[in-house]
Amino acid sequence: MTPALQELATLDRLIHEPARLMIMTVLYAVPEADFIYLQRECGLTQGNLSSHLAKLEEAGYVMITKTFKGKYPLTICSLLKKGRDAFEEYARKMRVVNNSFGVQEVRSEK
Amino acid sequence: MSTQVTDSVLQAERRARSYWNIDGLPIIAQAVAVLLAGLWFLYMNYSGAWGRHQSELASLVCIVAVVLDMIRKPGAIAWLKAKITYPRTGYVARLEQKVQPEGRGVNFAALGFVCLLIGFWAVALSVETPWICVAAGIVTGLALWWNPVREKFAYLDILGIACVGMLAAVLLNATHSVFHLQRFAFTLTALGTLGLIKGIVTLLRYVQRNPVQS
Repeated sequence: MTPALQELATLDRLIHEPARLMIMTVLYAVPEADFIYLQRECGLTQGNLSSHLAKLEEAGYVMITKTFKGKYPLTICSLLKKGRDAFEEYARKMRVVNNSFGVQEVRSEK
Repeated sequence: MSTQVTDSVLQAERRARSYWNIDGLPIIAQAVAVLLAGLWFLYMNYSGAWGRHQSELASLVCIVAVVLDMIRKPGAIAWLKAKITYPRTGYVARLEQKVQPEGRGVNFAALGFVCLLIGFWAVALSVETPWICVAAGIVTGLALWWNPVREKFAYLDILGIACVGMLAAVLLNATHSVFHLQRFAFTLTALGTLGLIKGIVTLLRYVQRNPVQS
């Protein structure tokens, strides 16, 4: 088995799911965001987003807190260190896989 | 990081950064600050307080401090955002501007652009010639429509609007012999008024397009 394929096999399945990958990407880019913002950015329904966030929270990747800005209640989500590290590791593995696929494409063209 | 993932993160970061201005509230706050400064200078001119050096210095320091404070600190805007923005399109923590080494070229471009505007502005405030109106019009057009760094440096728009104010001031000078300090007051007032209009239009469009989520 090539190293790239080995990397594929060890990808974090929790992050690899498209909806959760979108959520992780947005949360990686910002210090914190609320539920409505995530919903708009990721284009997910309320129920879908809730279930994915619950899984990420359960894994210790995301912290969810309920607070108020003025009188408006907010459900604020932020990435924990564990989640940040996991996302960076996922991205590193994807780079290895991408680079490897790029080489194979060049070879096949030749 | 993988290139695609990095691109997605950068894109998300860019969207979050521009999200602060999506509702026009920061523009309104800045415009109100500048408008108040302009009106204050007009009052100083017409009340006769202007001319005593202590009051000139004190008022200048106060105005600059107030304007800088309103522009730098988002506290006043946050309260309005909690009422208007968060229920509609959600909340995201404000991202601080980062100075990246690869962005230095763009920074130099912005600096050059600012220097050009300030240069024309300074010249127009001191030189008495009708051609200054033409120069001011050209610089205003450049600033508003051909700003090469509009996305990263939105405040350059405000400088452009300042040029509109300057143009108005110079035109006023041609007809009513307004002296230089009054031009400054008119410039700030025009800048504040135009900024306020721009901010209110942005806010109205935002509210119209984004109804409150149930």
